[in-house]
Amino acid sequence: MDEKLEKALGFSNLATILNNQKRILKEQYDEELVFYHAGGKFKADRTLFSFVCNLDSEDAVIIDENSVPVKIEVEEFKNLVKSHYTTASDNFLSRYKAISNKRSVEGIVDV
Amino acid sequence: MSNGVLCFANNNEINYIKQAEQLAIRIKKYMGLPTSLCTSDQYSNSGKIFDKIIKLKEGQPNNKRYYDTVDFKTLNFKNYSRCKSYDLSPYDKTLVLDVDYIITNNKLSDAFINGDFKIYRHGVDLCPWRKYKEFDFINDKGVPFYWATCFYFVKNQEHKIFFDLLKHISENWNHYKMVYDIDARNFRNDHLFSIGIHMMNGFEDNDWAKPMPGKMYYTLDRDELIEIDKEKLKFLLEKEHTRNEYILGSIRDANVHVMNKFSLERLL
Repeated sequence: MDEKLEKALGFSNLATILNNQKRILKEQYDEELVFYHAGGKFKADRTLFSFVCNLDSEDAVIIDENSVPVKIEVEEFKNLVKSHYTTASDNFLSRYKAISNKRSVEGIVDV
Repeated sequence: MSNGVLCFANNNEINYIKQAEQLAIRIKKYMGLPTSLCTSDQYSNSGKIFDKIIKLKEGQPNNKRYYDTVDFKTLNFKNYSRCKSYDLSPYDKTLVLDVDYIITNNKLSDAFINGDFKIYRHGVDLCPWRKYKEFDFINDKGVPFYWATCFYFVKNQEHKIFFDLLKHISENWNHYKMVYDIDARNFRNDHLFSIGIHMMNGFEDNDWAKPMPGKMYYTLDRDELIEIDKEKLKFLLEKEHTRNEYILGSIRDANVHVMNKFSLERLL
């Protein structure tokens, strides 16, 4: 194991590893944006965030990620979208900053 | 309504039951659910790790090449019982998982919110360069590939029809293998489920099977799991255009399907 590890470290390209870890963080960000409500599946991305912020009725029908129409209570749903968007984005930022500052392979993968 | 996880483990040179134990412990810790084990091996369950032990009668084993990065062994394996999950499960709502799946969060709990059959259509390879079309389609005709690694079903008439169909396809595998133009040498549950879903979809690319919650991250048997630290996993990932050379990679708070079973066993 140690020999393999040393060999891997020797061959490793810092940029390749950094880019791969950034790719994985982005995948996890996309995953964290997804939430379930009223039997529907939603992604709290910028599009949905903007859309629900512009709704001025008490109830609305939103088409979920599986193309199923779901009736929601607007204020409650708006808070959910905001909460998931904020949490996921804050996590993404802190993780991204943590690896971007590292200048060694071990530092990047140990974050 | 009872909820639970079902897993299958038939030991060969690899101790799948040991892997199933780590799965059940993690399922309990992160999802708070019971796990039942289906096995053709003797198992006492004295530690009460599993909710129930379900005895299997497995048929003739297959031969398969198991890689441990560049080295490999050809071993017998038995994997014909997954299509019997509906009959075997003691739960009303069941999540079925491969034993080499490492759970580090509760995202899969969201599968239990409704009664749709759920399965992953795509996974996320932790290795940055690999793009295998065999994980997109089961043949050149564009029939979608689904991962039988992880799926969710409930006890209802529609899902019973699906699992009865899977048993029929499995019993007539050579016919369906030919009709669907599958060139893999060995029987694969991924292919069986993909064919079943294609038929349930009316022989079209449709949405009868819904996506599982979260993402299924995976590494292949050419990679090596080198560290498990609670929610953090560290890997050596196969390097492009090389042999026996790797890049380091890690992931935290993600559920990962680790296909190098030898490396997983070394760390348990």
